[in-house]
Amino acid sequence: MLTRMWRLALIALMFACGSSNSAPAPAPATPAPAPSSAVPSKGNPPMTASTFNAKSDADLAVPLLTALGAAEKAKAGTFTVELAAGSYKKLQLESDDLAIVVEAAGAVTFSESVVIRARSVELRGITIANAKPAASALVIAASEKAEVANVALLSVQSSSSTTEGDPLIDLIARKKGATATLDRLWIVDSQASTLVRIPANGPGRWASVAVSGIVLAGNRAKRGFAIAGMDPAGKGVAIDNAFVAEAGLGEALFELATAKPVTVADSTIALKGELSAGDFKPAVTASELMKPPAKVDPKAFLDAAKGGAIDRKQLRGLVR
Amino acid sequence: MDLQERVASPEKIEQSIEPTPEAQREDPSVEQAGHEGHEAPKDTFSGANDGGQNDLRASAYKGTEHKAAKLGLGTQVGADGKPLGAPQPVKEGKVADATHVKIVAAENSPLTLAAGTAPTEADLYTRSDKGGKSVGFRSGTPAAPNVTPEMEPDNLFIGGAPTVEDIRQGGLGDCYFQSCLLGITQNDPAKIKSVMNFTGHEVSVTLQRFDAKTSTHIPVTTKTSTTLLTRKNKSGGISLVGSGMRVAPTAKQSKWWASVSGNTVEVHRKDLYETALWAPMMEKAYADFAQRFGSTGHGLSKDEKKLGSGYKIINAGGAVEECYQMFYGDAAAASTQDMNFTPGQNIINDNIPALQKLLRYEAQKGNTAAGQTQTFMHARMSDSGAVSRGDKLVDQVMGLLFFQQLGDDITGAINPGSVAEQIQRLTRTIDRTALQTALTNLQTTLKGNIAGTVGVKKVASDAEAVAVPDKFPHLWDPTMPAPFRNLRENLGILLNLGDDSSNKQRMNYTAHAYEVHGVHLADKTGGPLALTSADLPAKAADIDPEKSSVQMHNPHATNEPDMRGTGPADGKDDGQFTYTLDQFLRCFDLLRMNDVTH
Repeated sequence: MLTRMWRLALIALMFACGSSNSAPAPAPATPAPAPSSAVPSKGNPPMTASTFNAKSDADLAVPLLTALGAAEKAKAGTFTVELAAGSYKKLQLESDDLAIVVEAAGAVTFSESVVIRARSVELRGITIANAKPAASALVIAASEKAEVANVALLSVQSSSSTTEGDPLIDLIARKKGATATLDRLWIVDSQASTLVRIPANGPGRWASVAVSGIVLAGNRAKRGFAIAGMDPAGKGVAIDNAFVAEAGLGEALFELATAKPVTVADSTIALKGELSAGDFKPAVTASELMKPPAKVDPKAFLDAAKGGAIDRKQLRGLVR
Repeated sequence: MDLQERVASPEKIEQSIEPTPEAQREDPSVEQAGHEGHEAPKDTFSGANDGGQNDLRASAYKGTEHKAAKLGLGTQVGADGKPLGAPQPVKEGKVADATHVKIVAAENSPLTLAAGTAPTEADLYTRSDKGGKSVGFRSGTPAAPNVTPEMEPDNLFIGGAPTVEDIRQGGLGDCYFQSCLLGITQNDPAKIKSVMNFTGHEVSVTLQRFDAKTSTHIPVTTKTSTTLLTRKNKSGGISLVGSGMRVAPTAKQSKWWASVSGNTVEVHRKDLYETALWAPMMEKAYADFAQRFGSTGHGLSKDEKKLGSGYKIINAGGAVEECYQMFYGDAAAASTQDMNFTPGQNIINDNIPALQKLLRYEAQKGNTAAGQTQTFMHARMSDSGAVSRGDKLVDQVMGLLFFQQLGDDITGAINPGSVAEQIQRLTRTIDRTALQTALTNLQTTLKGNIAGTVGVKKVASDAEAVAVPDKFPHLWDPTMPAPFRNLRENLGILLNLGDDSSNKQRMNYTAHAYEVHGVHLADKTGGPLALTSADLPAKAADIDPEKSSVQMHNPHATNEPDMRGTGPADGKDDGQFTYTLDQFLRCFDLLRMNDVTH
């Protein structure tokens, strides 16, 4: 009798908790490895493309990885993930051969991390919010090019200690000559050792990194940018339309370990602490240096981030 | 401790992130050292120039001093993995033995024999009625000589090569570097030998630093004498501050001689022991390197400049995967991979990318040939990962307790059973209520920590109160559902948050770099699974997380998982242990890897 009651109790528990020890049934996903026309990347033979439509978190686990494996086998060239509007935990995609495109159809929010390592990477229109990733929240590693647009990290806290040093965003060149563009990137009310790291990691180095529109506000970190992995034969890092309102950087906004130029133009910087540390300095031109903020109210910036576009004039009004 | 406090006080960080090996806990370690730069006793060699030979600049700091390496600073290791200390000298007493002696083997021309071989008396001295030196006493015999143990000079390795047993993290918080040494020593030991050289009584170590101008890594060689950083311990003796030095279990050779001292003929044996001097010398060279180029060779950060001494810099912690560049330069590519555990979810399906990495590691860890890619792997658990998992496990266990009680209540109402059965039910009810109360209290603390209002010390003390062996029988009863065990093991992590202040109870530490030794995936029968990274998503269901296993190595060379505090399960406290894959994925939240293309 007791045994039966036990079983009943456990069955009831399973219903009550809404979970079981078996794999959650994946929501209907539509892996569509059918070839379609895709823009061939320069210098490579014509390619096909495959698209994976994700509607739920479950889609981004085994179904997505299976589809990715199939695309690699089929030498698809480009693998596109279209995310339906909604909330997801995490996304991880890795391929040496494929170009990976991740696009959001509507408001897409992740609660943990996004990691994409591929031949080339395009990531558009996602938010990582209220997350505590085990290390970095966003890792983009590309051999040819990385394009990140309209991405926000809001109230994200790395679980790594500051001495472990994992950055919030890691932008890694997998080969020499790769290029990266970051467009409309928001990092607000977040915590990590470094907010954006461009490391010298492995043999790859960026030929150029262009940041067009970035907001750093109310974060808790040692440094804003740690930049090392630039190709000596490349162009360096060009940042424009940056808005920085930081009262809590422990070391400096920039820590540069690259002899290539790092330029900041048409930007607004309200910074408590040092602009740069290390042997190299950024060149700041046509920019406004505001009085250091005593404190940054992240809530106003979190609200502003929802708009996506970076209006420095409007943001300036949020700094006290 | 929030990030701002950590930034402001790096030494506090250290105390919170790097559990000190138990053996060193009572010692005044670096935590007591002041920040101010303390001039090192000079241990210098001329010819400092970047990219070539450099003098040693790793500064000792308050309370520490570089002293010549000697056998007494090392330790032998017993079969049970425990340190035995250094071999001790033996002094024999005097015995009346009137005779005349002629010395055959004197101290300056000793008889060299393999260890364990004893000469005859006549090999050392001869007796006669007259002639030679007249003595009235004897001290020592070939069977029981006066023994002086010494370390073999100009030697870095035991048996000619480094082994993982040589790596014994000491009182410095450089687990990340020690764990990197474990990875290289296990999978590419020739690398260690290739970057270290003994030339004339000096050791040269070549590491690679990042050169910002060329955006590439360049070698830097540190050349130094064999002094090591020491401090006085409480008993007045001298001990190593950092990495331990293992002494071979037996002497390599012995030198025998006889001498006459006053009216006593003495028989002496000097035992020469090989030591793994390479391990503390490598740490010393790393401290020197870090003092000049920062802990990863990418330049000194502002905080590192403030710390001054290279020993303090390496003590401040780091990421293990970043260390490989110091050995392999641009060929080393670091990455991380998070691991997930949500109670009630399928732990395999939640960790496909991590399992792919583990498989790849197992397939590539031995790839040392030119053109091959070799993978090194480590794992850590974060404070917040352990706390959030603990919070969810408490929820799950509270749910189970509720339904177990409901089951008992229904049973009691329908069929009260015998008095004995009623007493059993009552006992279970009392146990459950006590556990529920304790878990409610613990969960308040965990949620407070998640919200940032409660510190890790409070979490540790509350977890320790629940984890007392057998205090709450449900947590220790092997017939209970798995979540009880899972919570118990999570408590084994939580109770050491911030520091190992427990009574030897532990699973694994947070913010500590464990090395992954090996990975064995098995199916439900326990049979090995031959999976590849590519076919894993489709065949994930074949993996049995309880039958699969991961071999781990704690760079402390001790402090293995031991939930009852009675010693490790394998009876050998050497830091090497095995988790089931299920335990591994529950108890660690991040893989740290490096792919080196040779």
